[in-house]
Amino acid sequence: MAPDCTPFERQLIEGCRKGSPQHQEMFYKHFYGFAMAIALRYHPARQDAGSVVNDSFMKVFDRIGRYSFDETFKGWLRRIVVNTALDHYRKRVKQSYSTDPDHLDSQAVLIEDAVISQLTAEDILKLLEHLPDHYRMVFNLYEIEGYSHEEIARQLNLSVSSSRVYLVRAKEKLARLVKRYFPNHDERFYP
Amino acid sequence: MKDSIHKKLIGHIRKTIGSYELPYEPGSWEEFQRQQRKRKQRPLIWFRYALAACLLLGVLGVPVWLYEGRPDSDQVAVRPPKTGFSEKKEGRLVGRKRQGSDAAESIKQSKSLDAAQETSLSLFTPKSPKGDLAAAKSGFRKSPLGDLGVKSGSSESLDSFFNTRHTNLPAIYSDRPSATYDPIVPRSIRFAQRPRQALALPLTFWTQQPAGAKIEPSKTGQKPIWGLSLTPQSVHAAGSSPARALGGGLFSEIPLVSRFSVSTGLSVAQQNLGTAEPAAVLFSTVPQLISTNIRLTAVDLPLNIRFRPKKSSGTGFYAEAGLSSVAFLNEHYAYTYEQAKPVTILVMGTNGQEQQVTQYVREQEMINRSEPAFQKIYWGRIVNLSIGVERRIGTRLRLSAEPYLKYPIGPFTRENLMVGSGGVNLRLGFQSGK
Repeated sequence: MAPDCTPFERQLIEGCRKGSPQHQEMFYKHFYGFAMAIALRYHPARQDAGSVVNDSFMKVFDRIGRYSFDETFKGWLRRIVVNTALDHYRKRVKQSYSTDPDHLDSQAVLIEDAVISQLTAEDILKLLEHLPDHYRMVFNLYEIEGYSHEEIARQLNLSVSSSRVYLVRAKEKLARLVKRYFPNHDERFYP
Repeated sequence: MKDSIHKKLIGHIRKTIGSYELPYEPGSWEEFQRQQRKRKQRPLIWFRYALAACLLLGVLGVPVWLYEGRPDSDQVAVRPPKTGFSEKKEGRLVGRKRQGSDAAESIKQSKSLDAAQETSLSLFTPKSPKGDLAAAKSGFRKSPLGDLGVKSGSSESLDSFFNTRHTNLPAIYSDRPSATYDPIVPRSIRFAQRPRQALALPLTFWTQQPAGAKIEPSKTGQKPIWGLSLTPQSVHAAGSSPARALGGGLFSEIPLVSRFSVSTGLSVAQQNLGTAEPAAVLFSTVPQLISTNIRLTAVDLPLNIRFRPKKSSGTGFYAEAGLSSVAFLNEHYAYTYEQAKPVTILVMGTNGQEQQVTQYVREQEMINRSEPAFQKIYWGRIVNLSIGVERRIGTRLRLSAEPYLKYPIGPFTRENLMVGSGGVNLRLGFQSGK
């Protein structure tokens, strides 16, 4: 049995394997929030994220027979959502590739620890929304999913050095954005 | 300093985002189902289009085949023979034609005849028009030559030719033991007198002859008809019960050939549908769609072929088949979701103390969604089949009642519905010109 699966989730997975529409519906509604949170990190526009989620679930229902309970189910699902998000990104990049005019800012940005610790998930998603697409992709894949620069370079069709540069710039930009939108702890929470 | 801030920030992001989940949004599962259906329907649509094309070909092809197959299908309907030609004579005449053809070849080879004779002989070849035999049967008093006035000039030379032929042909055939030659009687000489130009003329030229069955242009509609239509109808979509609706619009009928015409137009109908979802399996805290009310203002653009059978031309009966394209002026959807919501109430416990108990109460929520006008035009999504009867009112007005069926071959609307309808099309038409 998958280490992270509750008996209810296991029942849903078994039902989906049999192709039961009722179980598929319950499965979709149960894991929707989890998949949507991942999709929004890569595609902040709600509609795009919705497409990623739906495409991911279509893949899940097609391939759920291949899932073995040896690995964590959420990890398996996460991989499908991330790969689908990357597919959508690659499609979009083909249509238009935007370059960010930002350059490396050597000046350090000072942020209070209290401000950082008070950032909610919604705040973070909002901050990620302000990052250029390729920065956001590299940041998510490296810092959150744990991909290496080589893997990112392969996935996004970049050079390894570009991936490194984008990561550094993404971090810089995030820090600046935090400073800009949440100047200090007191102003934010005690206006 | 910079690195430590980044480390703290990223550490917090990982921790916060890693466990973050959003609540389920009502309508997402339905949207997913729509996308799934769309993907599955894609190959099915092509199959349906092929099926519809076959159906249309069948519907249109059968009348054409019947029409073409009729012996009197030509525009010229010829009277039955009055000259007492028997089948035997007719057979002989055909035989003679064949012989004549052979003879013409032989004559050409031997080059024993002059040019005028050769020209006349060539008229006996099988190239002569279809109506020759019929014209011969009909008697020479009604020969088109009489109308053309070709008689006097050419008949002399032809008479002389046939006199020559009488003497020459047996000699030509003398080396063929099986060939027999009957001299052509003068009656058939005049049959052969058609000028060469006349062979190239369309068959309609011969309508100068008295025709047994006249096709009346007023009945077959040789001029375009324009008009208004009113359509009480019943609308149906998969998963819904039939709903009544009323539509209306403009139409036009443009004649193509004698019994076929193109019928097109534009009609608008307001359709209200209600679809009920299957009952929920579980009493769920996640919103479940239980019903959808749909209000559509549909614009229908039909393109049909109308066929008027000759047999029923007196009754004004016609049959129509074609395809319709659809667009929507307004698409309004009201989704009703049901959800079990926890409510905390205070109850008296067994120990006499008040206790908090959580109860689940069913709550319904309605979400409205509208699509802008002409969001998409769904080309050729509906097959139209109808029959009708037309009555003339005065010289220019026509009233017709047309029971019809519109069967969807592909999904349309935002919800990918297969909306079909049936009803009666009441039309008041105006025929331009006299």
